[in-house]
Amino acid sequence: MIPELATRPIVSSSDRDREQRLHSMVSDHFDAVWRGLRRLGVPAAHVDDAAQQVFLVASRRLDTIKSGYERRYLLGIALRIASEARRALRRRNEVPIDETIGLSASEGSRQPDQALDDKRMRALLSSILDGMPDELREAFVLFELEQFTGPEVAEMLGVPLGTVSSRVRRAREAVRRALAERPGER
Amino acid sequence: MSELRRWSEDGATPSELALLQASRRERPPSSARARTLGALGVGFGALASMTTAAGTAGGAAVLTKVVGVTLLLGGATVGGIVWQSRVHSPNVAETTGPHRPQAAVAAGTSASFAQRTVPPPGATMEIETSTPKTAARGPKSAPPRMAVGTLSIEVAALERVRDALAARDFDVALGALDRYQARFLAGDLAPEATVLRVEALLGRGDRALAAATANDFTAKHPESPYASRMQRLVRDEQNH
Repeated sequence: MIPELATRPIVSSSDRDREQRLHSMVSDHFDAVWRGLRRLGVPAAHVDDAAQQVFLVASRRLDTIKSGYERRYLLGIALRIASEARRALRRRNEVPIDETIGLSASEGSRQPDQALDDKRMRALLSSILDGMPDELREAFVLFELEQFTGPEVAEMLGVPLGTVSSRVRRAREAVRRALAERPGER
Repeated sequence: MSELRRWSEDGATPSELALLQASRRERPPSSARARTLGALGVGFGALASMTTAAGTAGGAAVLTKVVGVTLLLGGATVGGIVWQSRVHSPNVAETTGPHRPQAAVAAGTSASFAQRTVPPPGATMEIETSTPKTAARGPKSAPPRMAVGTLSIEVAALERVRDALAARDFDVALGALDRYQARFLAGDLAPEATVLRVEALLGRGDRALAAATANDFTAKHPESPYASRMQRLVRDEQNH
């Protein structure tokens, strides 16, 4: 047996570099990951856990993540985790519960009317996205909401750029139709 | 097909733009970020380095950021303690005790930190397969659960390996590793699993196979900290 296994401390400069990089990734990209997961269909009650899981997975693969590509990598993991979450919901025949009515601290710091409007708009957007096929939803969220470029989305989804363009346009049409069907929205 | 442009530049109506902007304005609660930092175990070590950097740079802005993050992490730590107190799995307690295998603490961000995952109040992570003890011992009033992927299953599988290593049941550990690797061919925790395999082989006295396993991993991942970790284990055992 190896007697020193249980006692030897392992703290090296590379460990500290890892920690710093992880810390920076969370600081810089947590908002985008969390928001992306919400828009990709992870229920509000589970989105914190899911975001945490994204970073846990990324930490395992930290050595393979190229500098400057962190956000893309993280959202790629988020896509997979959100897809699993949607499948789990479907297996259970659950309907995702939309945004809660309460305002978060960051929203409370803005004008109350605008915060409430934002809340309503996001609830509306969530319901529209929930009604979309997954492939349209993913393309729309990545391109229109998280502002990745077309080629980046194509790489993340593993599809040609033309397919991304087609999906984004179809998703826009779905959003437009859903808005038009709501009385007083147009 | 024409070039894909943003909807905002391609005929979106005010209602549609408002929808996009409301989404982009959304921010997570700060506690969620703090919990993730806590779960990753990167808070205080990174802070120490950041403080040093701030000192050399003399940047007040950086210091302000450090203080802010410190406050956040204080919350995360409290949350972590609360969460730990709610976890009844004996595995968790064991792996934080003195008999915890070294691989579990290697690199500071190894498999162990998944056990420190701190869910938000009212949410629960579910391990869907062979961890009935953990699931069964959850609070009766727990809200509906949700599967959050395979990582939790991998963590549970490697926990069984660590338990076996701690009990010096090296054959049991290797059997559990075979099952893990059969199930998760390219699992997220595959490097940790390989480290544990090297440990188990060394513990069983199979130095040649342990060295071969470590060398194979090193050849494929020469820059990985796990590779140096494995090589160190083999080298130390040979010198022992």
